[in-house]
Amino acid sequence: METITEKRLRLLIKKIGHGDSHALETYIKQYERLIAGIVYRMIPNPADREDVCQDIFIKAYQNLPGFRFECKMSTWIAKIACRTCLNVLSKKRDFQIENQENIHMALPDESMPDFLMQNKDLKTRLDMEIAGMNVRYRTILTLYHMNRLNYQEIGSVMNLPEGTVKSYLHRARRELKERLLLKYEREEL
Amino acid sequence: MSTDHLKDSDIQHILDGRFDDADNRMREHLDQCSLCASLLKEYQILSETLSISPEWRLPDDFAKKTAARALQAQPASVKNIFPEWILIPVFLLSALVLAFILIDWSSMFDHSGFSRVKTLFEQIHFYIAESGLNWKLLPVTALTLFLISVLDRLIAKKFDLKIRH
Repeated sequence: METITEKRLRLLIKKIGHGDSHALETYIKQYERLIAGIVYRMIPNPADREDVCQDIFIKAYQNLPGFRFECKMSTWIAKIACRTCLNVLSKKRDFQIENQENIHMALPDESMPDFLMQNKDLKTRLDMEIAGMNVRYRTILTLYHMNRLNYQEIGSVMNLPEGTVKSYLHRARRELKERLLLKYEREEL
Repeated sequence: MSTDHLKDSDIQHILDGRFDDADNRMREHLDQCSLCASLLKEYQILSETLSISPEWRLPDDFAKKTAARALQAQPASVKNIFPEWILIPVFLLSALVLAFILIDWSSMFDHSGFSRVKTLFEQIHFYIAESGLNWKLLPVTALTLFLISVLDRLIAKKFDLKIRH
């Protein structure tokens, strides 16, 4: 994601406020990768993802006049994304996936039968294991490793103290590593 | 070399690059202990793999489609500094002030026990009359507009009305 200066962002927001559709498109393109990453990890059903991304950007657009530049725009929009995803998940009641059957049901779109046969790389296995983890852990792992947010920013996104973020991140990584090691031989990885 | 292996949390602490001089002992241990070093290596592989963006991408026309849909939606107003509930007492107070300006209350208190209130109102009316200015018009207009806007907001909120631009 290309970084955008505060000055440029202010100008962009001003233009969006005046109904400039090109400015809004630029804004969406700027953050769509970040949002896609969060939604990919948090929303297990591939059919829902695009709609969820759209809802996130509409909510962001509606709330842009209230953005006070007290935090980074990426943190602010990530917060909207996380809340929207949690809302979707709670409505669909697939918050916690507890057993293996459910994990496979919740697999991302790559979970075609032949896919598992053909792609046995760590990334694929990791995606599968993440899909079966607690949504809070999934979110923290995504925000920290993929979106490169720091503890403080994740705390702000998830309304958690920094210490809790750190503790959850450690637990999530340990759990993920253990899940992978339990399922696959150490040498395989 | 210390025989005590590093805790999992210490290794993750190092992984995140969050250590200072006090943690140099841990670095030294890692250099000499293959077991702890391999654990760190496992976490490093995990971390690198986690940082790879998903292959899933939004369609190319996503920004255009979403912008068009968003522009049809109503932008939320700027967040209020004051809580919503403050509107109710402010509304009541404004209505009282407006009523006071517009109505001659003195006659209403003639046969009641509110003598002190009556005196107060009479005094205020006296000062207004003495000033001889038509300054009533300004606060009356301002307060009327304010009351209309408050009522408008309360009704819109109550019925969740959306105004399309």
